[in-house]
Amino acid sequence: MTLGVGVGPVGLSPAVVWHVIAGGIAGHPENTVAGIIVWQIRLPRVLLAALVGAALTTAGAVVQVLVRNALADPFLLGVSSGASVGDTAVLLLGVFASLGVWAISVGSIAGAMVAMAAVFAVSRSGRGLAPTHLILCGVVLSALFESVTSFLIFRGNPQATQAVLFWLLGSFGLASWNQLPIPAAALAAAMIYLMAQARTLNALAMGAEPAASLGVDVRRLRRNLFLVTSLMAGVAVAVSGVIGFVGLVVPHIVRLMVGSDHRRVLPTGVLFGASFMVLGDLLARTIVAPQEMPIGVITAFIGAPTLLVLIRRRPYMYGATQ
Amino acid sequence: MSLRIEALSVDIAGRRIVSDISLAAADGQFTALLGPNGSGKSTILKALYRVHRPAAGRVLLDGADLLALPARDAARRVAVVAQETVSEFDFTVREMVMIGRTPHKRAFDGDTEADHAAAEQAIERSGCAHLAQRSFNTLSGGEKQLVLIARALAQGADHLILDEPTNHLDIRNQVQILELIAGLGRVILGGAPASVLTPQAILRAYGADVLVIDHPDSGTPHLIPRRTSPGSQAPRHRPDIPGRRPDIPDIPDTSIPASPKEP
Repeated sequence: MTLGVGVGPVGLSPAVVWHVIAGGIAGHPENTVAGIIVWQIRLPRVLLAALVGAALTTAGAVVQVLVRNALADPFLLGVSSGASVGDTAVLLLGVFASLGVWAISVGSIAGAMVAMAAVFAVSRSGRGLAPTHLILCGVVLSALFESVTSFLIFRGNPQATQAVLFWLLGSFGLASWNQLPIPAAALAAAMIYLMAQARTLNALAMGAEPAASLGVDVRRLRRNLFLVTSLMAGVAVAVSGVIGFVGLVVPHIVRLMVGSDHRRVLPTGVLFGASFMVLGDLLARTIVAPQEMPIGVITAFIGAPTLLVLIRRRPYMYGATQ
Repeated sequence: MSLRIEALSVDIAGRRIVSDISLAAADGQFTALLGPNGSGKSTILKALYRVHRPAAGRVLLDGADLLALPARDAARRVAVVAQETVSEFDFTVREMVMIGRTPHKRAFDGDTEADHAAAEQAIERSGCAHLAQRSFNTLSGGEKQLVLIARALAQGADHLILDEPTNHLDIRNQVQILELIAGLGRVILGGAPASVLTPQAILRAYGADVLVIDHPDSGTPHLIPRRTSPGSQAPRHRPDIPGRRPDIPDIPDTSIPASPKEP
């Protein structure tokens, strides 16, 4: 974290960073150059990256249990493509223009909610949210939403299109203090619920029928997990765009480190996901400085090879599913 | 302790799979439900642990309606060993067994001494102490079955339901599992595969009540009393099926492909 705040176009020593942070917490941020850089620009950015990393990791870990597939991603459920439609509509068509700077957030949250509701409605079958149903409906509806996005881009003007593309790849470049409360509250609420359910998550990881025989109300649990993960992923997309692979790879790495018991996976995931994202953002800012790389590029670059290595190392986990 | 099914019917996707079945499993006794694929064994058992909702009939646990109990309470009375071999997630054997304590726990409850003791005892009882540190996914079929039985024992229920517990196991593992089950002293209802490797003779040797279920619409399963000699009380004869082995007259024939796939 200190590193994330300290490194940048203007290098700052850890001591300076902590001095400014201490002053800021005490209520009177310094008006020096270092003070403004740390307190106004870098600190909110690092905190936002940490929150988004934690939220995506948690959402990923839960979605993997929900669809009983260790290769699932929180965006599988259509949230990201729905949010993209909302955001593209804001940037290209001027929807919600009256909301000013909030328009993108509102647009993408609205899009995510619509996508979530659609996937939920379509994949509900007689026996609740069946994993295969959920995956198929998520993928199909994602494709549909993506085509809507593509259509909007095709019709839009080239300059706005570049903004859309940048947003689609994810960035923390617009971070500010007033963006933090909503994701922080969403993450806190979700974590409280999930930690309360950690034991039943383990039972659900056994499959729906064994979970039922262990006294778990599978139908209700799945519905709640779906809502919680979609909201977390939706909020994450709203503040930072679509950042892939974090929700897929980080839960994996965490499971390799602490095993599969969700009472350990979830808290470790929050810490690890946050650190991963802060480091990723650090790389995004520094690799091609003074330009900034979209963080989605970084996470995919680190995430994809990591995942391939994992898959090759543990064939018995991926080869023999029913 | 007793488990009684009264006039149970189950529909799946609009089709009647189990029709008006009544049976009882007695105290401290292993009751085996035998029948060919598609005869509705699994469906009957799944109705007991709420995967299927019965269209008609009742399930009585010591005279009380099992399906009216809250799911958690029911899970503390009835534990299940079902067919599950694949877990996407890599739990150790000890973690798997600890999951059996789920119905005894509320939100945020930690593991207590009692939970660990119950898990250790279950691991010991089912003879998988040497596997405790292993990853469940790397075990053999027979070892997995032992661990799943340990998980059900850790659940602390006085009734146990087993769905084809010896399926896919070689004869040595089948005997090991049957010996373990026979010695548990709980009310046990098991859907046993009517395979050639687990003839009623083996089940009887371990003191099981054997119920033969022929076909879903044949009504009440046939009850064969325990420890009778083979053939002395032959159930419904099926002379229309060629290839039956005359020396073991009361084994439902499985050499014929059963038409409906067992759900």
